[in-house]
Amino acid sequence: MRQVVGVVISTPDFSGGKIMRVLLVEDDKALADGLSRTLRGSGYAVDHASNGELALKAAGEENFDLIVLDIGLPGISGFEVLEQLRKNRHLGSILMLTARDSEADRVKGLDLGADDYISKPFSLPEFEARVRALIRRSQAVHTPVLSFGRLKLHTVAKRAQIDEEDIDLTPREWSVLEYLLMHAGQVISKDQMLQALCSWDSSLTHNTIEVYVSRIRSKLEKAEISIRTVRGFGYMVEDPDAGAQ
Amino acid sequence: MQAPSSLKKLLTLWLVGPLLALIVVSAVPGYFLAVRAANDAYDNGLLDPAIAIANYVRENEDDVQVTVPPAAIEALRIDTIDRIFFRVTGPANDMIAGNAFIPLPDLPMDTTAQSLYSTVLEGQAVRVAAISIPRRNGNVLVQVAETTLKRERLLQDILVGALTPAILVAVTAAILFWFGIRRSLLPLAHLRDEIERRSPSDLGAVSGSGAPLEVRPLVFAINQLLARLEQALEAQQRFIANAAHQLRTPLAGLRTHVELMRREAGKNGASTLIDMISGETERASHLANQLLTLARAEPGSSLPIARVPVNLRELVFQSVQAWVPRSLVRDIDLGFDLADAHTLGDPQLLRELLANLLDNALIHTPRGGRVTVRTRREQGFAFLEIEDDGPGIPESERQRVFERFYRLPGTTTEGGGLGLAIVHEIADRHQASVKLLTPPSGHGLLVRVSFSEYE
Repeated sequence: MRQVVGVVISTPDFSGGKIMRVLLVEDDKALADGLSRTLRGSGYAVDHASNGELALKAAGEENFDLIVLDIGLPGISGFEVLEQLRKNRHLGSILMLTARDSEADRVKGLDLGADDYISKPFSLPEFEARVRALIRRSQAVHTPVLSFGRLKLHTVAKRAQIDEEDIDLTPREWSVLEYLLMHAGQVISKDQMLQALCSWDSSLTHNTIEVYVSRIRSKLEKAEISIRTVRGFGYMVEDPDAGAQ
Repeated sequence: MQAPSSLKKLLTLWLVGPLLALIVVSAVPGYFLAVRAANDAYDNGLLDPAIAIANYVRENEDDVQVTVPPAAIEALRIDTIDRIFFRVTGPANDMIAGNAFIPLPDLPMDTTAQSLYSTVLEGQAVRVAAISIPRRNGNVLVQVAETTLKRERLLQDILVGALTPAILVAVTAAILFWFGIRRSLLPLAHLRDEIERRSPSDLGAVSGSGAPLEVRPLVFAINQLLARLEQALEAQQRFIANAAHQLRTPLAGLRTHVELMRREAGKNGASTLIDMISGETERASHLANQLLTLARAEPGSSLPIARVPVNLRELVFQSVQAWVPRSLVRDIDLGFDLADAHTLGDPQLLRELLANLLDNALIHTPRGGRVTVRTRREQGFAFLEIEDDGPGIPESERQRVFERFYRLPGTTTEGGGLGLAIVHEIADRHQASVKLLTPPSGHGLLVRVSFSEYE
């Protein structure tokens, strides 16, 4: 019953030319149809598997950058699929869809190697944001250039460009910006940033982060990327690619 | 209602009661033996003077005489405890010598006979030795009577000597029974403690190790009941999980398609209809979530809630991801003021509590408003506060808004009126209180949930 619906209409720039492949594992036909349309609309090549066995077979044959995996599958459960995928050294990201309430289920999923989870019934923009974040993360592994609207990050050269024009960033500003953009669409706490960035820069504090962010803000004005302050918590970069469809 | 019977009482009664009865019953022959022993000991002493007096009886031609020497009479009076009487009765039934009328014995005539018997003389119990001697003209009867003080004393001594150990045995046995019974019933008390100590959600088997043979069937029956109960709870939980799945998956599909339709329609109008469908779909999703939460949280629900250490600060931290984007869409400044605040509870229900409070705050705060989530601890309490600068809730309505499906008069915003009811019930199940207050700024609403602090 495996259907391949991998016709790509438009490819967003950030994929670096390579078409990202997504395996959607969901037994509910209507939901699967809606989600694969959405994913195709975002420019991904989408395969659909309606049960766990087909999912494992598909993942065994081809490499997927992201697997969207429903937990409540007929036959082999999503958890078993998850476990098997990680055992088979599946390297791509896994986004878990769960309709259950149980806290234990969520923890179990993350423990078994899921990268993120989203609870049904989710809103489409929420789903798209999660997918984008996961795709970017798996992309960063093999793509040196990441795009955010008009902004491009050259991850190896550690350079940032707006419309092909270099912006002048100190190494610290670069790392703060890279961290924020890699988590675009997510709320980042200052503590999280400190933990992630401190390994090579122990002089960072909440206050210095604020200073860097305000400098980055003024340097990115032209890129139309807004770094929102979440009062008493941290920051959130609104994903410039959200709602691009 | 029948008073509960106490095993301890019952066992004590059944052991001590018969023991006492046994002692009493065994004392009866003892008493008679003692009486006989007391009489035997003194009867010979009483017979001797009677024989001595009989020896003084002289017979003439036509009458019988007796001359008891004064020394012999003195000897009879030597006793310091008992009084002694004597009487010699001739054949003509006349008193020949003596000092009292002593009731006659039942003795055969014409032979020499002696008898010992008890009777009453001048109102006193006496013991009498009587000797009947046949003479030519008839019988001569010699009687010596003695009051029974010595005998009573001896009887008393014998009885006390015999009964004291018996009573001591009885008392000691009763005390030993009491402790023995207590000791034997200890496993039952342990069993009770083990069951009492359990958390309401612990339906594992009772260990019953160390329970005596007789109690094992009870432990077994309890465990069977627990197992059945657990099965029933599991079935209920499965049902809720299934219902959740069955409801949420199609709702997710519906939302996805409505959203896709909206994007499609963006190009050629008709979007008001789609907006309405979209709004209704979202309400249905929200309601499904809330009802399932209520099913878990309501007091009547037998589903156990977890009681694990929860840091409210971290709980809010984990929810930030979901709520900030929503606040941005509504152009509301959602901020945080978080300090460690530990309590015990069910993280998932607490997350629902927070979600419903935030949902309310975001719905009722106008665009450009501020909502602040605060966690803090103070004097044994862990507080979760959500403050907004929306229209607030009038004091007169603050009780009613916790009722299910109640909506403030004149409200036009969405929301099914379940949010605060859920908050209330989740708080209840955590023994936490929910207060609706006016923030220090004087307008808006401050919801304060106070949990007891867990250190």
